[in-house]
Order: sequence, then structure tokens, then C-alpha cells
Amino acid sequence: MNKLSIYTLIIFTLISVNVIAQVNLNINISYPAPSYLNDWTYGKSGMATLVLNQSDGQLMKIKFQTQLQNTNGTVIASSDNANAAVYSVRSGANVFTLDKLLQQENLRFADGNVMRSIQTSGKLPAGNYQLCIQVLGSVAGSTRVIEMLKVPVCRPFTQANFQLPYLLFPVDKTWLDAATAKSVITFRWSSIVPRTKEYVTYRLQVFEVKADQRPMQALRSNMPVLSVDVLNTQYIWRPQLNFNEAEGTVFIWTIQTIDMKGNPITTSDGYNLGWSEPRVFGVCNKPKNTQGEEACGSGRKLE
Amino acid sequence: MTNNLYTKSKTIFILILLLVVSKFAFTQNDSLKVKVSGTIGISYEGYRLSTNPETPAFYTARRPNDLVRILFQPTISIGNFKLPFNFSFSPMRNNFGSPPFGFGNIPGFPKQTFKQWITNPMNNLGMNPSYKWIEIPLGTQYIKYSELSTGDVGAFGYGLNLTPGKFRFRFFNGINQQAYEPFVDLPSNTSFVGAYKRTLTMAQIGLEKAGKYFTGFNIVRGVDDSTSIVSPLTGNPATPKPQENFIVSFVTNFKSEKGWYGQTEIGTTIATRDIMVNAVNPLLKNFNPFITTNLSSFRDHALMATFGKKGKNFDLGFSTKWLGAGYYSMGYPFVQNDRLDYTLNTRFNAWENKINVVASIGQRIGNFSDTANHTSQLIANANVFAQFSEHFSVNANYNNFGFQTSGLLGMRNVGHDLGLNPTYTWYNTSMSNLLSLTYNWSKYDETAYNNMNVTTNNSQTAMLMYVPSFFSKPNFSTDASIMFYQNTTNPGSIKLSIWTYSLSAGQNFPKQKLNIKTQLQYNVTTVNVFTPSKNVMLILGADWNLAKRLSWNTSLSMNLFKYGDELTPPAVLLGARYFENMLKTALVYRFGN
Repeated sequence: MNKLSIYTLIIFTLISVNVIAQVNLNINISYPAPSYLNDWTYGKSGMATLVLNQSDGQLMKIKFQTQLQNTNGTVIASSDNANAAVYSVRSGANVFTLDKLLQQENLRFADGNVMRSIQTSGKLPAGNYQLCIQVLGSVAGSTRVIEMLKVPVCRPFTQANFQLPYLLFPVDKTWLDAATAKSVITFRWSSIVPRTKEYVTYRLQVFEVKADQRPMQALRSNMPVLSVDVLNTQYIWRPQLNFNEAEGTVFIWTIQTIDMKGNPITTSDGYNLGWSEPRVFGVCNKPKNTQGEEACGSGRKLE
Repeated sequence: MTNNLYTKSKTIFILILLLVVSKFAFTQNDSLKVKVSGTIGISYEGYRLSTNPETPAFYTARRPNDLVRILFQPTISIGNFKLPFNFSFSPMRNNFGSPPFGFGNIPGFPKQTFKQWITNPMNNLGMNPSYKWIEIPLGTQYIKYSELSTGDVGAFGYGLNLTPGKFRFRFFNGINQQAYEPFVDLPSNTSFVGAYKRTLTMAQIGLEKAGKYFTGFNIVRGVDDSTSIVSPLTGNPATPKPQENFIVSFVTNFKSEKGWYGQTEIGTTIATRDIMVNAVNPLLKNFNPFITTNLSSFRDHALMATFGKKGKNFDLGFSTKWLGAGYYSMGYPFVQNDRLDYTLNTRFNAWENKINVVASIGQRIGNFSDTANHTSQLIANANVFAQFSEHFSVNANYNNFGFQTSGLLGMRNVGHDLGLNPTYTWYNTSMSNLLSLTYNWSKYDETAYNNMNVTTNNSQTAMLMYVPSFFSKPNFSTDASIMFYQNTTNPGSIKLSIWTYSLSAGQNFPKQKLNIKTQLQYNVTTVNVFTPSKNVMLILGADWNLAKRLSWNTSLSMNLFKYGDELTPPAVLLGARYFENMLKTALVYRFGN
């Protein structure tokens, strides 16, 4: 080996060592992680910052090598390095949204249950995971790929697939007796599942359904006759309303679940804004024993 | 490809429309007598609230100040041709459960455009002209094809229903949600995130024998127009991404003459959470020409079945419904998925039809796809009505629901409600009397939000009502009632007590075709050791038949509420009070006999 080759090898080795020593990757994943993997593209899901300290200021090409693991270290999915996206990074801080690290489009799954869950719901099964990232880099003009972190950076995260509260009482499509309902109507609903570490607020909203309206139309358009924030799962309403309508008075009600930061809990529909499946009830001033599907006297029916 | 599909759909629709028009042209010899039925009318609701003191705010308005609604719902019939109108609309905009989610009243928020007005869920502007087996739904329509497809939300558009013989074909294409640009109000720091225009297209094809059976396929496609808003918000909060949803379901139901009935439906849905994503989904293929998937797409299934028998004195039925974790329909946007429900219900009469029992028991399993985190909910209720004699009857009901999850973050919401309502009537030569007692007992346990402690609510309601009827004054009615309600929450022994005294009276003036009603209600509410709040409510109502077909219904309710010391501190709220009144009036004209 001539001197030139030896010097070249020494210089490349020094460059490699220098690069490895001066890359830092910081990953921040929100708690809980977004339910839908597609939502990892939003900044509120968390961010990753890759700090590159390189004296020559050249652009560097990098790829992320991703592993999704159980908390015990079992690999659930890993990325295909050949198809990983290539990013150009500069010296200094380079910010990435989490979907760039996750590479959902490029994951090869080792766990059939996880793959099925993503296929059918767009979500990971609820549980604890860790995201492990290695940065693969190459200097401009070189095809040599090197692992830029001594060890992959792993960040644990929790996947909680929330189910919104289920409205328990008044029972769907039932008539309440006006004689007692004019003083008190009690609302009850189940808690959000799983129970969150931070408190959530339940916004109880009750909408009157006009005689020429459908319940969902009333919910989508009317001003609520009751809108109140509750921390527990029961609310005793003193309605102080006129329940003397001969054909009965009909309401639709729902719960909007709001997290500690004031954001509605995410569900399938982007416009749902954390509203639980609504329920309908009526107040009837006719004789007792009016069953749900029956009309209030000769008046309205609950649909 | 999708545009081609639309173009073809529109072409087919126009051809069928021409066919319908030509059919009318050849059938002018049918009876041409014009008949009009239905109603038209106008209604007004005025609400006013005043509080004392005005600040700090302690009670907020719960209705818009003024609400005018116009009803135009006549049906014009000429022979076999029918033209029903379903117009009910208002110039006001509230929109709480749909964009702009109540933000429309922020000062400076752009006024709704005509397109936004006609597609506003507040307004129905629909008509359904039909001739024999051809119907053309136009404008606002609430179309429900089935439990798993669509839907309980309205859309504004056009469609076609054909029902020749046993063949059934239905189609509709309409705007379910109009586009709204995002709006940020800096002074109040509130953001409306905006909304994309959403269009629903649906079709059903099947066979039916009315009252006997139906079997058919449903297809529903919903898509947001990603170009319909110019500047979506991308920060926090962000505009929801434009979505797409496709559903196909197969439904069948039957009824037999002997009372057997059944219904089943199986459905598959593909949902795309963000149609702007370009990456291909390695786990889900495209379903062209219906939907092109991307990385944000997923597919799941659902199933529902009902089976039972109805008889004169005995019903028994079983129903079940399973919705997969990814099952989603734009036609039912609020439905909770990832669940399995099953219910057994019955109704029967006994003791020579003097006892009537209605009961059901069922279970709901939530988080069904996640076996480790299932939620379990028991739902049971029963209602028994017994007419012991001409004078004495009893109604009793029981409701139980138990919702619980296991594990460290588990919870428990369990309720029991028992109600008893004996009614006794007696009469003499001058009057009849009715005495009704209602007693309800309720117990509700809930896991507190911040620890594993269980909060227990015990409540009791007792009400006594007396209704006399005077034979010499058949047009006069009155009743009086007294009610006591108490809820005790433990731990802490927090008590809420309410006494309600109520007196009602009504007088009918047959000659003047006028019916007047009034009710006076007085409540005393005590929370813990606070001094009681008092509330008096007066309701006046008058229904007047101005002419044979013209009626004018008016009611006025006034509510004065005076707090004790429960709002203090601040001291200024000692004895705070609010007064709200609401006037409802409606003028309605009825066509026909």
C-alpha cells in the first residue's frame, strides 16, 4: 500500500469517526401517541431533531433505519433500508415530523396481529411500544453508508385507543314523565376508556328537536339548551322548560370529551370532535306507560 | 376514472329523467283533478335573558334571541302524480354539531353564502315528485338505506327511486357539508378550523315485496373536496384532513304472516383519513373504480342481525350488532365502532291482558378488537303495567346498566333505577278524581376520574299528583302536584334537594274555538348547607282555531330563578337572580279536509 492510500484511509477513518461523534438524534413522542399512524404526520404528535455538527458545512444524505419494538425488545416491524427515503441534512439542527422516522409505507411487519390491526383500523393495537431509530449517512461524493449513531436511539411510547363515553341514561328512545322531568332529569354516561392519566372534561350538550326536525338535524344545527362541563359521569339537570307541549318534547344529547389541553379526543371522523354517539329521549305529559317506540299520546314518536 | 363514473351517472340520471317527463306527456288523460294536502306555516321563537348582577357571568343564554322558521309542506296530487314539498327553513345560523360549530356568531365571521345556506342542516329544502313507481328526490333529503350503510345525516342534491314490481333501485348524490374557510378571531383567541365540502353518493339495488321481504345491495361513497378551501390551518388546531369513505353492504329482511321477522346486514368499509397522502399503502389494495387507497386507508367489516316473532300477546326477539375497529360510515359519523352488542327482548300480556310486561336484557362489549382491554356493559330493563281493577293500576319499571373495565386503569359505572307508580281513580255523581303517586329510587356508582375511589349517588324521587274532573264543567281541566327529589353523593355526603309545587289549569272555549292553558311551578332547591335557591315558572298557552284550516298556537313561559348563597364568593353573587322568558308562536294552515 503506497503512502497516498494510507493517508486517504486515515483521512476517511477520521471523517467517519468525526461524523459519528457529532450526530445527535432527539425524539419526542406525545403521550399518548396519536391513535392513527397517519396522524404521526402532525407536529402535535411529537417531533424529532437531528443535530449534525460538521465543520465543512456540506450537505449530507441520510436515511432512517426504523424498528418498531415491544417493550421487551421484540421486533414488530422494521424498515427496508433499500427503499427508505433519503434526506439532505445540513450542519445544525434538522427537524423531522415523526412520520419520517416511522416510515409506515416502508415497514416490513413481523407480527401478524399488528399488521392486521393497521390494515383494518389504521391503528396499532393498544399497548406499550418503542420506536428505535438508527441514522444511516453518506458524505456527498461518496457511496459508502455508515451508521451515524453508536447505538440506535429508542423512545418508548404508549398507544391508547380511546373509546368515547357511551350514553347510559336517559335510555335511548324513551319517554320521561313530564311531571317529574320538569324538575329534574339525570344524565349518566360511561367514562372514556381506557381511563387517562390526566383528567378529561365531559361537555354534556342537550339539543331540543323541533317538531319539523330530525334528531341529527337538531344536533347539527340548533343551539344547545344545555351545555355544561362535567368532570364526573353524572349530571343532574334542572331544566326549567315548558313541557306542556301536547305532542311531547324531544331532545337529542351527547357528550364531547375534551383532553387536558382542551382538544377533543380524536375519532374516525375528523369533524366528529370527540362527540359520543348521540341518544334521543322525550318528555311526555300524557298518561304513564308510554313505551319508547310509541308516540306521546297522539303526538310525536322517537326515531 | 372517478370523474368518468360521475359523468356516466349524470348521463344515466338525465336519460331516466327524460323518460319520466315523456311518461307524463303520454299520460295526461289520467284524472287531472288537483288535490292539495299538507301544511304551510310560520313560527317565531323569542328568547330573552336578563341577569342581576350582569357581571360576573353566572348564567348563559340557552337559546338564540330570535328564531323564525317557515314551513312549506304541501303535497300537490294530480292523478298518480304527486309533488310533496318539504321546506322548513330559517335565516338564522347556529350549527353546533356541524361546521362552523357555533363559531358562526363570532363578530366578523363571514355571513353564510347562499350555497352554505341551502346546505345548512338547519334548513330543509326538499321535494319528492313521483309518478307511480318513479320518484325523484330533490334538494334536502335524509336517506336511510340501512343500519350499516347510510344514514342519519342529510344531504342536498338529486336522486332517483324506481320501484317497478319487485325491482328496487335508488340513487342519490348530494352535498352533506358545504365548504367553510378557516377563521381565526384574534381578540377572543378562538379558531374555527374550517371544513372541506363533503359529497355523499349512494345507490341501492334490490328486490322487495312490500311488507314481506327485501334483499339488496347498498353502495355509499363519501368524499371531501380537497380544493374546496384555500387556506387550511396546519398548526394547532389544524383543519381536519379531507377524507374519503366507501361502503358496500348486503341487506336482507323478511316478515311472515305468522309474525316471524328477521333482518341481516353485512358490510365492508374502506376509509381514507387523508386523501392528500401520496404514498401507496402496502397493506391495502385499490378498489377501483370506487376508491383509490393510500397510506392512510384502512378496511373493516360489520354485521348486524335481528330475529324474532311478534304475536298478539307475546313478542320475543334477539338482535346483535358487531362493528369492527375500523368500521366507519360518513352516513353515521358519530357511531361508536369496535363493539359487539346483543340483546334479547320480550313483551307479553297476562291475566286476561290486565298485565303488560316489556323487558330486555343485553350486553355490549367495547374495545372488541383488543381482548386485553374489553369493556363490558350489561343493560337490563323491565316495565310492568297491571290494571288491577277499574279504579286501580300500577306501573313498575326497573333499569340496570353496568359498565366496567378491568385492569389498573379500569373503571366502573353501575346504575340501578327502580320506579313504582300506583294510580287510583274514584268518582261520584259530580266529579271524578285521579290520584297518582310516583316513587323512584336510583343508585349510581362511578369510578372517580382521578383515583380508584368509587363515588356513589343515591337519589329518591317522590311525587303525588291529583287530577279532579268536574262533570258540570267538561271544558275545564286542572291538576296539582308536589314532588320531592334528593340526591346524596358519597364520600362527602353532598346533598341536593328539590321541592317542586305545581298547579295547572286549562279552559276550552268551544264556541270561540279557543283553548287556554296555564301552569304555575314553584321550586325550592337546596345544595348542601347553602341557603335554598327559589324558582318560579309561569307558563301560558293558547291554541286558537281562527278558521276551519287555520290555527294559531302561542305559548309564553317565564322563569325567575333566585340563588341563595351557593354562588358566593364573590359576595356580589349573593342572591343573584336571572329572568328568562320565551315566546313561541306559530300560524299554521292545513290543506285538505
